[in-house]
Amino acid sequence: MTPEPTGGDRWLQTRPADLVAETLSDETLVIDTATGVFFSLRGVASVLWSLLERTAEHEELRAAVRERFTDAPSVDADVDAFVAALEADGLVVESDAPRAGAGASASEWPESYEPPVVKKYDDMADLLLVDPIHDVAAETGWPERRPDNR
Amino acid sequence: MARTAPRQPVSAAERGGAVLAFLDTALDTLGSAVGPAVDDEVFAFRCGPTIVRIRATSARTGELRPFSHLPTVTPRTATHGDPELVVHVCDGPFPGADGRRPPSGFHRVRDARTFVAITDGPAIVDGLRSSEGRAISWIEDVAHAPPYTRFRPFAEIFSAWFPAVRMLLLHAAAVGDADGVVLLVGNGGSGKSTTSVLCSQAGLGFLADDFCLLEPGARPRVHSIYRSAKLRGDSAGRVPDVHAARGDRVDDDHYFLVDDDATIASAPVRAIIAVRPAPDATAAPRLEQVTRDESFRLLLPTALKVASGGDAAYRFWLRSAHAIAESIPAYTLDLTWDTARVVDLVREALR
Repeated sequence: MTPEPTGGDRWLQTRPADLVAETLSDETLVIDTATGVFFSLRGVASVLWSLLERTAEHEELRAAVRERFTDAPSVDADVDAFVAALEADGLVVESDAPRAGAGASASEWPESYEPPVVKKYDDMADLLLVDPIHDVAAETGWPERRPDNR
Repeated sequence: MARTAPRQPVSAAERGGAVLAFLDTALDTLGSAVGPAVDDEVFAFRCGPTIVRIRATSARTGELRPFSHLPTVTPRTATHGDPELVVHVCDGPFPGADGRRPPSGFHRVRDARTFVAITDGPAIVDGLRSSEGRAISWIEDVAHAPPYTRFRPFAEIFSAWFPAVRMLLLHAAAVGDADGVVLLVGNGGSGKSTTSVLCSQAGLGFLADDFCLLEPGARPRVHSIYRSAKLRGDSAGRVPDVHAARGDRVDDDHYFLVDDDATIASAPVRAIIAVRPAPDATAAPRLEQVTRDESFRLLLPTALKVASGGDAAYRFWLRSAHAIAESIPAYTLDLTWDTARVVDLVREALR
């Protein structure tokens, strides 16, 4: 499905609460600790994520990729689809302005253009969200979930 | 007629603050002459590169049996700077609270300094001040302590403290020998405990049936913490020589202790196996290697309790799981009741 066109002058940022992200080699891993859903970001997505952690304009994301990979086709569409996917899962939200203290360096670009890809894994959400006190069975304790919370 | 102002609802943050303040008072008191001192140290053991000291003004020494297989440390032994956790174990009136009771209900709260988990029915408080390596484990009425507190004591405290010393509590079983173990991972009820007990009975060393400590690194190691095991009724009925005392059976679960001499305290991780019931119970058990990406996803939930250590623990676990998935072979094992073959396949993964 083709994503809806998004505006080029919106400030965007990663959601300030309940996200834990870690970039490891060619992949950025994100856990939404509120939902237990896990995301894997690959390609130029790691660099875009680091820009979004600092807050970025939508058009700034496109321009950064175009500038780095001048021959790459469909950069704008790839970035738009990526941003739309992040917004759909609530990983990125609109921002009024750049964050105070922004300026951390971006992740390293891959050597060749690889479209930004986000893969979503929700099959472990139940386990990641098990709360050892609130969700466990009274007698057996964590990690057994309370029967009424299964 | 005088009108009273409407009562403002108490926010989660305010409730959390009250819970943390309550624990702070107790830990401060335990740090003074009122609380258990070095002379009250009843047991201390080494768990990998760390030392756990138990100080008790309580009759809860029965809770220490699951640790009896671990190398012991005597009180005041010099530890060469190894990280230490001191757990104050107590029951009766809550110490240091001037007669006040812990907040009722379920609470699990942390800030940069303190972690506390409170439950009731019976009232239990597990709290930790990470920076000082001091914790409290309190049960109001020890006669009503649920089996998990006797067979997996202090799990809340361990999960919150170990990330601070670069280790993680895993929800995994482990069997093998001192040269290497296989980590058995999987959801509750997938067969981890049954497989680990079967392997132990077949001669492999038992390191854990449900919880073990991971020390990440270039050669990741796991350390035993409990020698307890728990089998569900159907497994307990099929696995020979499993005898849970009447008081150690709860609903369908049978708790028991594995013999000291059948355990191993520590070993490098040689393989990971995700166990699961076979789709066809009459088929042969099947071992199949998985990709690095699949291995990572199988591993991720095993440190699900790292939430007790906050965001830093999550990041630590993401890096650790990623590194393990890169370097350690991983498999899925479809389980059936052809138990001899199941053990053979675990040995095959160890090779």
